[in-house]
This record gives sequence, C-alpha cells and structure tokens, in this order.
Amino acid sequence: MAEGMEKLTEVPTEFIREGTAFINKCTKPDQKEYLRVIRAVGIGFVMMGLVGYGVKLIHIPIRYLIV
Amino acid sequence: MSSFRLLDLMKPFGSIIPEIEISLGKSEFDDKIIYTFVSCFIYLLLQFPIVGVKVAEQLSIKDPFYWLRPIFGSEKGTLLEFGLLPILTSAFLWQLAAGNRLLNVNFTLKSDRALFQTLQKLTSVFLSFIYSIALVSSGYFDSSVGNPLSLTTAALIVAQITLTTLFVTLLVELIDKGYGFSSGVLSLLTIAIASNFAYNTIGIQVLKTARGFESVGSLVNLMKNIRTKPLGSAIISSFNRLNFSNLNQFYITIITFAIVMYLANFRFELTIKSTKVRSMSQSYPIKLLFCGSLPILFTFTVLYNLNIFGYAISRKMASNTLVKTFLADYDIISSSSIHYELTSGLLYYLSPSPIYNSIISKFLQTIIYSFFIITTSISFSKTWSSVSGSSGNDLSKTFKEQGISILGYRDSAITKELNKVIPTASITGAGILSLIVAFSELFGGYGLPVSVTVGITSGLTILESIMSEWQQNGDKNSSFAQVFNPNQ
Amino acid sequence: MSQVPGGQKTLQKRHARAEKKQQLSAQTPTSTRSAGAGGSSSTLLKLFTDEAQGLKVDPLVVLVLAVGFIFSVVILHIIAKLTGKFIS
Repeated sequence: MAEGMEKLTEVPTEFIREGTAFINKCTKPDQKEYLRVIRAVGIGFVMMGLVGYGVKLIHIPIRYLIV
Repeated sequence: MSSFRLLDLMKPFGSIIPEIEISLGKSEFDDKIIYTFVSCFIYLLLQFPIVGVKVAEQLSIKDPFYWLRPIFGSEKGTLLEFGLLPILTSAFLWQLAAGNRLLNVNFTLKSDRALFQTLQKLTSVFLSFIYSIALVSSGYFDSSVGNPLSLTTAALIVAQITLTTLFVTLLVELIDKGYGFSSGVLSLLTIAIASNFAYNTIGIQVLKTARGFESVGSLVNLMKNIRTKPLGSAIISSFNRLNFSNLNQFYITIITFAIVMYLANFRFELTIKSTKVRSMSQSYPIKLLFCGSLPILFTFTVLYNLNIFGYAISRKMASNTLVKTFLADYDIISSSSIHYELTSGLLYYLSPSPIYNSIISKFLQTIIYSFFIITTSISFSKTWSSVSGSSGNDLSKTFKEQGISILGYRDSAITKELNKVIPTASITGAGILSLIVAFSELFGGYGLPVSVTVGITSGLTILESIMSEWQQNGDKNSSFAQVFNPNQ
Repeated sequence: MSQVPGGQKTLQKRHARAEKKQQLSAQTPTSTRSAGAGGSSSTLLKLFTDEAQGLKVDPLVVLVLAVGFIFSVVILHIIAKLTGKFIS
C-alpha cells in the first residue's frame, strides 16, 4: 500500500520537476516581442470577429422575413 | 494478423461519397484567400434556424450544452447544432485508433490512406445523424414547440442536421486539399470562435427575456445598464447575469488571452547547422505548446460527447434515480434561465456547473473537474505528439534528409535528444494550458475563455503556415509579412 | 548464475528479437503525415488530403451546392410558414 502511494505521488512530482526544468530552459518572449505578438494577434482576432459578426447580422433580416 | 479489416468495409462507400478533386498545380495565393473566405462565410451562414423549430422561439430551447458550444462553433437550434463536433470526434477517434494500432491501416499505401479518409468522413456524418436522433428523441427540441414533435418534423430535423455536417465536411476538405489555407477544421473553428466572441462582447441584438429586453453583448449591456439603472446595480447585474454573456466572462477571457499569448511564445531553441553547406548556425524552435490547442480541443470533444449522450439518456430515463445519481441530471435553476445546468451525477463532477449542492460537492467537483481536464489533455498530447508524424523519430528523419545536425550532438544522438525534448515539451505545454483552461472555467468562464484559447492558438498555427507558404512562394512582400508575422 | 532459462544466449536472442520488433514498429507510420503524405501535424488538423476514387466534385460546385442547401432551407421555412406544416 505504502509503495503504491509512493508511486502515485512520484509520477506528478516527476512530471512537475521535468516540466519546470524544461520551462526554465525555454526562451521566453521579451516585452517588446510580447507586445508585438499580442497586438498582431489581437487585431487579427478582433477583425475576424467583426467580419464574422457582420455575416451573422445578415441573419436578422432574413429571420424577420420568414417569421 | 487478422484478415478482417474495418477499413475494407469502406470500399463500397468509396465511390458514393462526394470527393473534392485535388487541385492540379498550385493554387494562387489570392485564390486561396478567396476560397478560404467563402468557405468561412458559408460556414457562418449555416447558423440558420432549423425548419421545424419555431424561429421566434428558437432561443427558448433550453440548452444543456451552452458551456461547450463556443469551442466548437455550434449554435443551438440552428443547422450547426453540433458545429464541428462530429468531424473532430471522428478525426480524433480514428487517428488515435490508428496511432495506437487498434485499427489496421497501412499509411504507406495510397489506397489505404484513401479508405482511411473515407472512413473519417463517413463517421462524421454518421455521428451527426446519431447525435441528432439522440437529441430529437430526448425531447430537446420540444421546449421550442411546446409539445412532442411529429414524426415528419423529427425526421426533417435529423435530415437537415446530417446534411449540414456533410456540407461542412466538404468545406473542410476543400480547404484541406490545398484550395484554402492550411487546416480546414481550424480555419472554420477560428472564424466561428472569433465571431462568437464579438457577438458576446459587442453584440447589439436585443432579445426579450424574462427580465425584460436585454442586449446580447456584455459591453453593450453594461453601457445600457449604466444609462438606465443606478450605478451599483447596473454594474453588478452586468457582471453576474447568466442567460447571456456577462462581464465576468469578458475579463476572464482577456486575462486568459494574455497568458496564452505569452505561453505561445515559449520555445526551446535547438541550434542547428547544415552538414552540407557551410553556413551560419540557426536556431530551430521547439514550442512549449507543441500540440497547440489540440489537447484542449480533444478534452472538450470528449466532454461534449459525454454530455450529448448523458443528456439523452437522463431525459429518456428521467424517472430512474440510478441514472440521476450516477450519470447525470439536468435542471433549470431559475425560471429566467435559458440553460439546463448539471445538478448531479458523474457528469456534474466533470463540469464547471455553477450549481452549489453543498460545499463538499462543490469542492469535489472542482478537484475532479480540474483533474479530468488536466490528465486527459496530458495523455492526449503524449499520444498525439508521437503519433501525428512530428515525433522525435520523424523529425530526426527530416533533419537527416535535409542534411541538418544539431550543434553539440553526434548524428546518432540527435534522435535521442529529440525524443527527449519533444514529449517533455508537449506534455508540459498541454499541462499548463489545461490548468489555465480549468481555472478560467472554474471562475465562471462558461466556455468563452476556452474558446478564445483554442481560437488564438489555432489562429497562430494557421498564420505560421500561411507565412511559411508565403516565403516558399518567393513572395517576399515584407511590409505585409512583418505585420502578420509575429513569430519569426 | 543466470536466472534466465536457457542461459545468456537465449536472453541475447530475445533482446535482439525485441529490438528488431521495436524497430519494425517504429518504421511503420502511424499517420498520414509520418508516411510522408501531408495530413495532420502536431498542431494542425488536416483531415482530408488524399485522393480517393469517389464521386469527384469541383470545389466551386461544392460551394454553390452549400449555398443552394442554405437557400432550400430558407424556402422550406417559407413553405412551413405559409402552410403551417412541419411546425407541430
């Protein structure tokens, strides 16, 4: 039983240890890069959203037409 | 081995199932933009009310899946009742089955690949058929009509949903086969998620609810509330309304967005060098989010499937207390609500449902839900990274073919190093991403932050593949490239 | 002393066989992409990339058909409204 418990806790701790080691080795984006990415993706996402929402709005008059 | 193969069953279907011609020669960049745009446009148009459900009362369908919908681009009471769920389910199912060698398929043979594809396509249409039957027979659509559906209406609804899935499959195939950009599923998903986000934030539609007229968009609602109500209650009611998106969801989504964008740029850089040509050493990034959004997508695919069948079964056997206590029970918590909430059973513990039975059950729910999300994502990412043709072995093969070696490693050690880095990256990435997702859901995200997470990671992936295509075609219109190319 | 029945030699043979088997299984591809034919990558789901011998359709035809499908649903709506059918 004790052995089983040990194994049960061993897997997550091992996983967390390896994970943190890996993250520490990772290159992280600096502030400039991060801001650039977030702006590019944010603008892209919002633009897509607006276009998509525009398409959705087409439905409203059609719905009124058929109700 | 066994002489019977599931794949061979697909042979007779091969000639009936519509199949998009593969493009001869490379499509032009502009053509691709048009095809992708039109496909996405059609996908959004498909969010049209089903015939048989009263259009005016389409919104009154009590929705048990509202917290799963944004992630799959599905919308209740419309042709996209299941969105991309059938396609994703069949894709994950068969790819994992093939990857774990449960399905006997030889991917080196062209004929087998074609059969595998037919199998995927047929399964997604079939699944959509099954789902719609499950919902129709469990009385999901009845609440919009008031009484049980007649048989013809029921058949009509099933036919419409199934046909829609067939068309969506074809749209996906069209994009996949090189008429559009990169991946069909992810493109459609991204556009659906983005427009859903816009709809939930700045949606100007006004709908009649039990509390009077309300705006759909959370920000619009806040503005309106500030104008019409005393300040305190205005802000509170825009934060905690449940029938439409609220401000709480909005700011959780923004926070999640910021964190995921930060994580998406974590990478482990291997220094590579060409063995053939004398050149500068370059860095080859291995991303922390090695599997992108797919682990999250897979986890919620499982949840959505469980909930569809859980709902159908719990409705069919509503009197059975065993089903209620062990599987699931759906209830409406307040008369003004347009959602069904999970109140008990296994599925309750696998959901971020806002119901408080007791402190203990809430505590248990939090733990079990997070545990489920995290472990499913991690185990999926582990399998997927080794199965999807991006494993260490595959990568080192490509390196060898292109005459690339990693600086500081002997040729024989490259595979070993890659085999160590890639699983670690994919598992860690999936673990962190799923942790964020679990948190955002437990704080009351109701699917919106998850969907945005999936949307932006898929969007980034698509963007990257567009960029690399751009560069390969020699079109170095760098002014455009710099704006849209954050990752290089 | 060796604890393996048959001694070291069998053990070595067994090792060799296991290794060979592993190598073999590592060689057969597990997905369309690892067979070198496009398809899903680690982050990208590309499901339908192969040419099957089926009912070949032009992509434009698919788009037109899809729009046609939406129109037919709209028309069904109008018929349902006029005749009061389908809405029980």
